[in-house]
Amino acid sequence: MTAATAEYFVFREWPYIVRSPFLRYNLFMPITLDEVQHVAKLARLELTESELLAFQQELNALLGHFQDISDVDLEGIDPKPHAVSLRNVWADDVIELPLDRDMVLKNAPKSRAGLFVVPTIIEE
Amino acid sequence: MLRAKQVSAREVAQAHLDRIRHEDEKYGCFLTVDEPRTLAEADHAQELLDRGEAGPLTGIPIAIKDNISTKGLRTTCASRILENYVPPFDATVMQQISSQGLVTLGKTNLDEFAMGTSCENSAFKPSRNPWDTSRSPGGSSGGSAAAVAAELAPLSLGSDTGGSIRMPASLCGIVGYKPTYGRVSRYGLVAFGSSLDQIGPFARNVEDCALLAEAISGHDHRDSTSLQDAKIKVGGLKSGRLNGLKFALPKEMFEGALEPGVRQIMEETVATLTREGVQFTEISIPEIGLGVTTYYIIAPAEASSNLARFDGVRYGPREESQGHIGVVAATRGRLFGHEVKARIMIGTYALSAGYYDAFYLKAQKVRAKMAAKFEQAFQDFDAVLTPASPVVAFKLGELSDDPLQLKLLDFCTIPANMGGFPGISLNAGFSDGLPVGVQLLAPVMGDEKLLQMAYSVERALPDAIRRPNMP
Repeated sequence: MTAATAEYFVFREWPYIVRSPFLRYNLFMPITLDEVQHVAKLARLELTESELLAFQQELNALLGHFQDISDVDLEGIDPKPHAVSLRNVWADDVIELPLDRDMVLKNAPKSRAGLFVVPTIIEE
Repeated sequence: MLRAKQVSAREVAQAHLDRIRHEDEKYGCFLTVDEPRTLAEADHAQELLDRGEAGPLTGIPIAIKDNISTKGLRTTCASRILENYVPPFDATVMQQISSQGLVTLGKTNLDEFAMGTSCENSAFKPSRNPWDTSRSPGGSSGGSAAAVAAELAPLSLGSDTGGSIRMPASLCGIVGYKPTYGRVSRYGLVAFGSSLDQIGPFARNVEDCALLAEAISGHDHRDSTSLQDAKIKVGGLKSGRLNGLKFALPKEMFEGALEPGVRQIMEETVATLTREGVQFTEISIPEIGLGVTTYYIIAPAEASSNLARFDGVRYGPREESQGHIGVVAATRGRLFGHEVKARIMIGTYALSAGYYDAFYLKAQKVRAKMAAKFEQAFQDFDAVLTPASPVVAFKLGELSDDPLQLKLLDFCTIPANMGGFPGISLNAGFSDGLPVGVQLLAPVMGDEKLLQMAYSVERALPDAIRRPNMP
C-alpha cells in the first residue's frame, strides 16, 4: 500500500465488488412478479402492488450479486453455520423464576384470563 | 472523581440527563429516556460507592441500543411493530451493568432491527453525526455511537452483526469494539442474525472500552452459544508495546473501493506505526471481495427465521384482516419498515426450495473458506489492520435511495462476524474534518491482546481521541 499503487477508484464506482456481478447479470434469469408474490406469501408479508414491484427490482439486483459465489471453487469445504465451533451443552435441570405473567401479557394485543388471544384458526 | 466523593452519582447522572434534554434534539440519539429511573439507578450506585463496594465503572452513565431488552423500559428496535413493547426481563448484559452500578441513561436509536448502515432506517427518526449534523452517524448502532461522540453519554452499548458497532464508531470518531462471538451473552438481544450478532461497547478511548468489555463479558447459561472462558480480562491493557508487532494488510481491503481521504489516512497510519516499530506485510484474502454477497445471504436467511416471531399475537399491535394468516401477514406487512421486509424477502427466497443449495449452503462454504484464511493470517501475524469503513460520514439521504450502495459499506467489517473473531475500530485521523477509523482484527479469543494492541496504537496516533466542536 504505497502511494505508487494508489491507483484508486472513487467511491461511487465500486469497481471490483459491484461492477463485476453486473457484467454477468445477463447470464442470470431474473425473478418474476409471481415469484416475488410467492416469496411474500411464504414470508407472511402482505405487500402492496408498488412494494411487490420494488422488491422485484431489489431482489433482482441482489441476485446479480449472488452469482459472485457461484464460480468459487468450494470443493471439499464444509459449510460453517456458526461463528465459533461449538458442541452441545446440557443445562442442569434447575427451576428458575418464570417471567411475570402480567408483564408479558401487557405487551399482547389481546389477552383474556391470563392467556393470549389468537386470531380464529378453525372456523365454526 | 466519583470515588473521591467530589461529585455524587446523582449529580453525574443529572448533568447527563440535562445535556440530553437540551442537546439531543440536534443529534436524535435517544428514543426513550426515563429520568426518575435513571436517578434511582444513580442513587443505587451511590450506595455501592458509599459502602466501598464500587467497581471501576460504578456510577458511570451508559446509553443502551434499543434492541437490548431492558426490564420495564420500552425496547422498540426502532420498529413500529415494537413501538410500545416493554420487556418483562433484562438482557444478561443489563443485569451485569446494573450489578456493577452503571447508570442507564436511556435507549438509543438504530436502523430498524439493526438492519442498515446509516441509522436512517429507524421508524421514528434519523440520528445525526456530531461532527456534521447534516451527515449520518453510520449504523446500525448510530444512536449509541453519536451519543458518545456528542458527549451525551461517556459509554454506550451497541450490537454488531456485520459491522454495526465498528462502522458507526469510525464515522463518529470514537472507539467501537466487537468481541469474539460468544464472549458477551446475547440473551435479551433481539435476534437479527444469530450466528453473527454480538453485543459490544462504544467509548471515547480504548481503556474505557476495555473496562466496559470486562463488565459485560462472561459465560451465560441462558445463551447456548456462550463460551466457557468468556470473561474478558483487561489487567494487562497498558503493558503492551508496538515495537516488534507484526500486522498484516489484506490488499483486498485497500484496493478499489476506498474513498481517497480514507486511503490517505490509512497510509499515514501505516507510516506512523512503522516508525513505532510495527512490521507490516501485505497479504491477499480474495474471499474478502465475496464478503458482502455472503453476508447478504446468511444474515437475511437468519433474520427471516428470527423475525417470524413477530406475528401480532404476543407483542405489538394486531392488524385486522381475513383469516388468521391474513391477520399475521397484514400485521407484518403494515408494521415492518421497507428494509426489514426486504431482508425477510431475501432470506425467505435464499432458503426456499430449490435455492438453498445454490445460495445458503454455498454462502456457508464461502464463510468457512474466508474464516480459514483469516485464521491462517492470525497464525503468522499479531493482527490484521484494515480501514473500519471505506467512506467517511455521508450526507443523510445521500445513499438512502440506493440500498445496494449502503450494503457495500460493510465490506471491511463483515469478515469478523463471519469468522467470529474480534475487531476494534478507533479514530486514525480526519478527512475534510470527518473522522476516519482504523480497524484491528485478532484471532478468536484474542480479545485481551487485541485491546492491548489497540491501546498502544491509540497512544501512537495523534488524532485518536479528538472531540468534535460542540457547545
